[in-house]
Amino acid sequence: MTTYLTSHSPILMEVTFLVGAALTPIISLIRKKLAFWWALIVSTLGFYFCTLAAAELYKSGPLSYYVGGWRPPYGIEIKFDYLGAFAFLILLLNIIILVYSKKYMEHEIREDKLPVYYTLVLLLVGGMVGFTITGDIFNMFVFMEILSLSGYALIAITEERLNAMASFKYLVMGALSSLLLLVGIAFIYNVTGSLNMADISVRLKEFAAPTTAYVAVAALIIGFTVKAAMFPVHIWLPDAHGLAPSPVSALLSGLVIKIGIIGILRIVFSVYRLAGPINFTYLLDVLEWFAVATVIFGAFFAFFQDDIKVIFAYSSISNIGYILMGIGLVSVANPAGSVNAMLGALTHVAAHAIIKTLLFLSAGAIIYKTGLRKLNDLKGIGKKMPITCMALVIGALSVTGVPGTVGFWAKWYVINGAFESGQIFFAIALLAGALMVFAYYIKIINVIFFRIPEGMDTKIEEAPLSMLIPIIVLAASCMVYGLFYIYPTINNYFMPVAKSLLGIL
Amino acid sequence: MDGSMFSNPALLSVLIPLVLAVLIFLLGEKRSGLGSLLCVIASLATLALTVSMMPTVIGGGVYEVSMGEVVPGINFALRVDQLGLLLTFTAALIWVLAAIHSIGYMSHGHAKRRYFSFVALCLSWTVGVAISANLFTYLIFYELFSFSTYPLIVHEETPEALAAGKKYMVYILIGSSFVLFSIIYTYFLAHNLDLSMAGIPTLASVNRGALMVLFWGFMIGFGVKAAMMPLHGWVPQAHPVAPAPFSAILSGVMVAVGAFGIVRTVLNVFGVALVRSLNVSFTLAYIVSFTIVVSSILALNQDNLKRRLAYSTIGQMGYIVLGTVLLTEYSIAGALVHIINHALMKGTLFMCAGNIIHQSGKAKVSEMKGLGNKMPLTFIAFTIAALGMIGLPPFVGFISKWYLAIGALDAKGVFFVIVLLISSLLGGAYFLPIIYTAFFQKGEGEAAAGHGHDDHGHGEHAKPESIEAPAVMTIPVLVGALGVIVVGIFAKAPNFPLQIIKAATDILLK
Repeated sequence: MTTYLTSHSPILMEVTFLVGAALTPIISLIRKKLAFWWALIVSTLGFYFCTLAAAELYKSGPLSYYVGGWRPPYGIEIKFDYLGAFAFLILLLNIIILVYSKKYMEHEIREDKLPVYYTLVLLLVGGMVGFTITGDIFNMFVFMEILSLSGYALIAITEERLNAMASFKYLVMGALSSLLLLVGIAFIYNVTGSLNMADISVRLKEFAAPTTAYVAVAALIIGFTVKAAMFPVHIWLPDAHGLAPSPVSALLSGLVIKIGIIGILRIVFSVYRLAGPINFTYLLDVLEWFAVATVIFGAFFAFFQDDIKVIFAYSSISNIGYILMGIGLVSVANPAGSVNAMLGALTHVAAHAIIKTLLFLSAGAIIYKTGLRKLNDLKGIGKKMPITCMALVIGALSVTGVPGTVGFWAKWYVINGAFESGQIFFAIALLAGALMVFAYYIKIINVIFFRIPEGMDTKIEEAPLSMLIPIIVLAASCMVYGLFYIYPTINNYFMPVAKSLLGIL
Repeated sequence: MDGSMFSNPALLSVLIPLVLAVLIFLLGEKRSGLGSLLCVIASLATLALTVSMMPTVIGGGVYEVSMGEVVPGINFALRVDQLGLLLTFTAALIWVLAAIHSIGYMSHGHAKRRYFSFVALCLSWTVGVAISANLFTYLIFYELFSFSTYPLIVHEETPEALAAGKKYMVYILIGSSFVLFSIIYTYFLAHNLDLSMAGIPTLASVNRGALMVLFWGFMIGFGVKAAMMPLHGWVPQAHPVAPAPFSAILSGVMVAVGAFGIVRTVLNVFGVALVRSLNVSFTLAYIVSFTIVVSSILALNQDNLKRRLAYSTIGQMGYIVLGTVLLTEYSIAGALVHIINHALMKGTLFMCAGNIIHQSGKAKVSEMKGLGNKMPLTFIAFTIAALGMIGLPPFVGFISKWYLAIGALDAKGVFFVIVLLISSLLGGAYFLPIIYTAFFQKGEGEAAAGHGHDDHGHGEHAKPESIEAPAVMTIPVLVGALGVIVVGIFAKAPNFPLQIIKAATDILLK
């Protein structure tokens, strides 16, 4: 039985979520609040299948699954490889966020909207998992659409006017990005006649860098950078992530923007490959400069914000800059010398997912209890909600990359990568960006802990346990995982991903 | 990580204060009285562990413990060597005094739970910094320490405290960025971050330009915390606003942790031979001399006692850096012994200032007329420590200056001997007036009262009303003052600082 489940685990992971999402409205006909428990069961089941697949990955290498038994390049291939194993983190964080969202969403939206919310969350997570583990570029586009559309809807679910506008802004930018992705995929299909990633990368070698292939890669990368919120196509992010309900912000900022990064990694490093027909040197150099701009501007704009969640949203942009920098620093001529830069990018994809989830959930707990989100209104909140606020401080220290926390490793490895490629300027720019990020997190810490409370309700206390425990778990993992367990993880997981992407495994 | 590791004194001296800090926090605000006792116990335990490690370390041995690899080739590891032991001992000593003093000073304060748990936490991080086996471990503890002091600096939560805290953070973060840059650069250049007495051997083959970037990167980074001019801006603002016992820690130990970073960089990262070949000693020594003289001149102008002490600290850190970069046996010994000597003197002075503020509410020197007769014990301790600062024998300050001066002469730097003398003179100029004001000037109230009874001469005989601080605050300052005398007289006795330092310099300059 287990072997049967294991061999089918890649498809089961996706199907669980898609079927689960479809069934949610029906289940909740019995009782509206049942939707939560259903979503939790579906997510746990999905996570179980993912652990099966992950165990198999470590036992006998990447799993390929041919949907319906049709062999690639004709059928759709699902590939649970090392990069695809990011699905594990997605599903783990999803469960944590889901537990948290029970109380939060009951408070935030009308009861009859709850089934809609859980349906959309399951679709969003299913879309992310599908995107991460698919081996087919058109399939990738389909999942990208699934997750984007559920994302737009989730932002607007509160029915506030501003949310609708934020959602629309995201929709416009997202549609643009989807169009570019579709164009890119169509061009690739036109050139190679295939949609399977492995197949394409073989067939591309037969073409001596045709213009079409160049246009395709440009369209795809621009499309993905919109999803990843790179400067200057980040404009949709602050409103969308700032205004969405907090668990949704956590999903969007922690995980969904990373999907754009995974897209870039897939296209550049597993479809086209560094050793392929296209010379990526120029493109990666350009990416470096955009990454610097993303780091600096993301941090800069956060200065002028008053809304605590919008500040976190801008800091996501800045952090995406770190990741893009790591990717940009990869040297085409000497991929083996770029392992550090790649490791920096990859560890931060995971680290920032954990940290930003923590930050949005703890901000959410404050909003849940006080209804306040402006920094100036939150003076002295640390005395009322000490655990939540301590967790928020741990998140703040982690996101700024204080040594000993999980956020530090991106700095360590990317700066090492910058030295290795002789680009000391980028090392300095990264440190300068981190300093700017520090500046406004210090402001937040100051306000919540060391200012005298003004006109705040005196009866405010900690959030309920179902919200507090996810926050504590995330905060603890920022510290403990950050110092003691990340090295084994880097050796056993990130290193194989980096090496396989760089083609030096 | 096996069980026996937890009986390792190196690990215990970090773990005990850490665990107790968490415990103090969990006990809650209502039981902060118990918390304050735990804070004292944490300091005493660390002191006892340090003393227990002395014989082995003075004999040239080390205590080591490793907690596994964190970066390729780099372990998260602790190693108690001679330099580490010196700073650990200094820290534990000052912490014991400051923790006891805090019980009295904070008796009417707010947020005592936060205060005492962070004081214990800071001890843990300081010991960690002192006994880190490599730069990576060092970096982690150094950053944790920098952040953990912030709640203590802004403890009063007044606008001035918050402004000082902000300034502190900005300076420290910029410094930290330089430190981080330099450490990663070291890793890139040498693939080794070990802090051994011989320096990092692979650095010797690196080209001079890169080494210069590295050296000055470290100097700027640690210089911020060590209050080297012109990077000292946070010191005169942050030291006065913190609660006095913590000012004692800040000025006595924390700033010395910055100076200790410079000591580690020069002696353990580059190594004596490599720094000599870089030929940077005199450049840095001149910058530091400027710091020493200018800070002393600035101290003259301060009426706020704690600000005056803060400026004095800036100058004194200069001594440590000066002695280190001159690279002779005696100058290094002078620099190292000044870490503990300065901590004793400045710790005592700040705690005295705390007593004065706590009992009389007077923070300005000009208001302290006649206070010496009202608080005799506090001011006797103050006088002893101040005389030590000026460098009079037989107090500890004299030992430092003696060694530094001989070391400077060995390095053919007569100029630096003159700087030391000028600094002593200026030290006299800003410390003696305080003593004079307190003991020999009449307070305004008394002067008026004395005037009324002028013809009978009763004013002189009337005993001034004593406002001496409670025992819990006077005993630490008296013990500190006693230390200033005893460590001065018995500097070379077994297990006293100069012996530890002798063991260190023997290995360093072998």
